[in-house]
Amino acid sequence: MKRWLSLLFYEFKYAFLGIRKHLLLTISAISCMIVSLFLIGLFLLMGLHVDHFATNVQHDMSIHVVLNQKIEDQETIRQIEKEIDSISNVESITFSDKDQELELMIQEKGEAFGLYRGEENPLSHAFFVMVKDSSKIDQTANKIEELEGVSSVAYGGSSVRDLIDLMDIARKVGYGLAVLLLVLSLYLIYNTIKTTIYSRQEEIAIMRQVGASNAFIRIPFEIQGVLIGGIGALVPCLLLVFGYPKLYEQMHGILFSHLFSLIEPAQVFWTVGSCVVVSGLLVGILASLLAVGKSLRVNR
Amino acid sequence: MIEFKNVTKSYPNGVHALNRISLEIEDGEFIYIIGPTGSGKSTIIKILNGEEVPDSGLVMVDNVDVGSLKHRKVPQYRRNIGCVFQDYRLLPALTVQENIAFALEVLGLPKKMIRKRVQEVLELVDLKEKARAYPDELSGGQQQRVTIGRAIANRPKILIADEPTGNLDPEKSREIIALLEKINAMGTTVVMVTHDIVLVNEFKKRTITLDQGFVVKDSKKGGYVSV
Ligand SMILES: Nc1ncnc2c1ncn2[C@@H]1O[C@H](COP(=O)(O)OP(=O)(O)OP(=O)(O)O)[C@@H](O)[C@H]1O
Ligand SMILES: [Mg+2]
Repeated sequence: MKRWLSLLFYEFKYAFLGIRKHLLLTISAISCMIVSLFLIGLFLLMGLHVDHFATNVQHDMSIHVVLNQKIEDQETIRQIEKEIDSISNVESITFSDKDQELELMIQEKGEAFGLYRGEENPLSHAFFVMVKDSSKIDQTANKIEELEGVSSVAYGGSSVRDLIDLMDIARKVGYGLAVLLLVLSLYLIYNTIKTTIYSRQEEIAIMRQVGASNAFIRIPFEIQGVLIGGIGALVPCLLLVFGYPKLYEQMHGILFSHLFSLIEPAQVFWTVGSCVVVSGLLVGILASLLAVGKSLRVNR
Repeated sequence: MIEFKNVTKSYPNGVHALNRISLEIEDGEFIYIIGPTGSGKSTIIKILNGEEVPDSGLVMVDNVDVGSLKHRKVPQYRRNIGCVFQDYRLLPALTVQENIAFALEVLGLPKKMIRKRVQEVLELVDLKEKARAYPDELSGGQQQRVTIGRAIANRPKILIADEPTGNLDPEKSREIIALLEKINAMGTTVVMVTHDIVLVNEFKKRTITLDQGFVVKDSKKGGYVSV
């Protein structure tokens, strides 16, 4: 136990000596790591939101069907309702008479429209149609629009979905960029450790001469890699974990409208944090394993 | 106990460095290996050190088959072998006592034990007052004494030395031999390769003479006689 502890102490000592000796290389590797992991965290956050928004929008997929203004009698209205209901993608249909329509409009556009209440109401009767499969909402809306007596249809999804698609593309491009940067950091860590090993050739030869085990010689370099990866992960992790709640507060939890409600910080904490830390450590370990590889085995 | 049985070694360039060498060295012996340049002296040291592997034949050191050691097992084996070279191979950034401590640190010995052992070794090699000096502040003889101190710090059973006096004047060479004799008297087997006929004749010990990779003479009495 004692021996194990003092071994560990020396391993860390040599790891820190290596870092100090090649501080500039180490710093550049850490900086690259910080940038790439910050981007990865950012795009991950974005990705989570794209999914989140998409679900929100799906929940909000109803078609607003406005009838011709002339249509007043219950018989025709019921007829149209039946026709809409027979379309296969239609889940349910709710009637909204022109007084209700006016109230919705007042809610949306302001009390100024209140003067249309009563006989002056210029609006028409309408339906709210919920669809089963929101991805086919445009076809369903077109079918309804062709029906006799329908003046216009409108559904909230389309422009919103275009936006979400755009965000999705941005996310993919972002991931690509971040992975490239991650490969660059892998190379920088690899290079740092290789340089450290090279500059310590003499010392390593003497260590082998006096009987230091292969593992003892290797471990400081691996610690060095893990430390670079770890520090490179810690900074973006803290930035995201403390920065996102600030942003969330500032935006009052929404992006543009209630459709784009942000995810509560507590929910992304662990996903984003652990992703960033784990990828940082993995890259650090991988780089040091690659760098140490056979280079310590050239001499017996 | 060191045993060479029919050991042959050639290098990739085709040079036959050792030809069917057979030797036995008992525990606690002090022997010289002499011979002209290129006769294979250093090759014997390298094989004993686990650096080079014989092509055929058997090399047993304290019941370890040195030739078939895996790379991973070499360090463990070397903990029983102290090794000294003509060029001292000290770490320039470390002081004398740090250089000696280094050999113990990499074995994971506790700090307290290391400090105690370093003091003992410094006393043995007579460098107490130079403990905090750096290698480039020492004479060649002093540097070689540090190397010897480092080699024996872990109390190896065998000390091998490849021309340890090669860079030293006769006076300093005698000091080194005296030190090796002191270490030998404490029970360590010493195998020393040398060119220095004067030394071999002055401090007579068992002497093995090599020529072109063959053992041409093994004299228990010692001293150099031309063959
Ligand atoms: N690594 C090597 N690769 C190729 N040939 C080598 C190697 N090491 C030694 N030799 C050759 O093997 C032969 C024996 O070399 P060795 O170093 O054992 O001689 P030596 O007796 O120590 O000589 P010296 O007194 O000059 O140190 C020499 O001919 C040498 O050129
Ligand atoms: Mg030689």
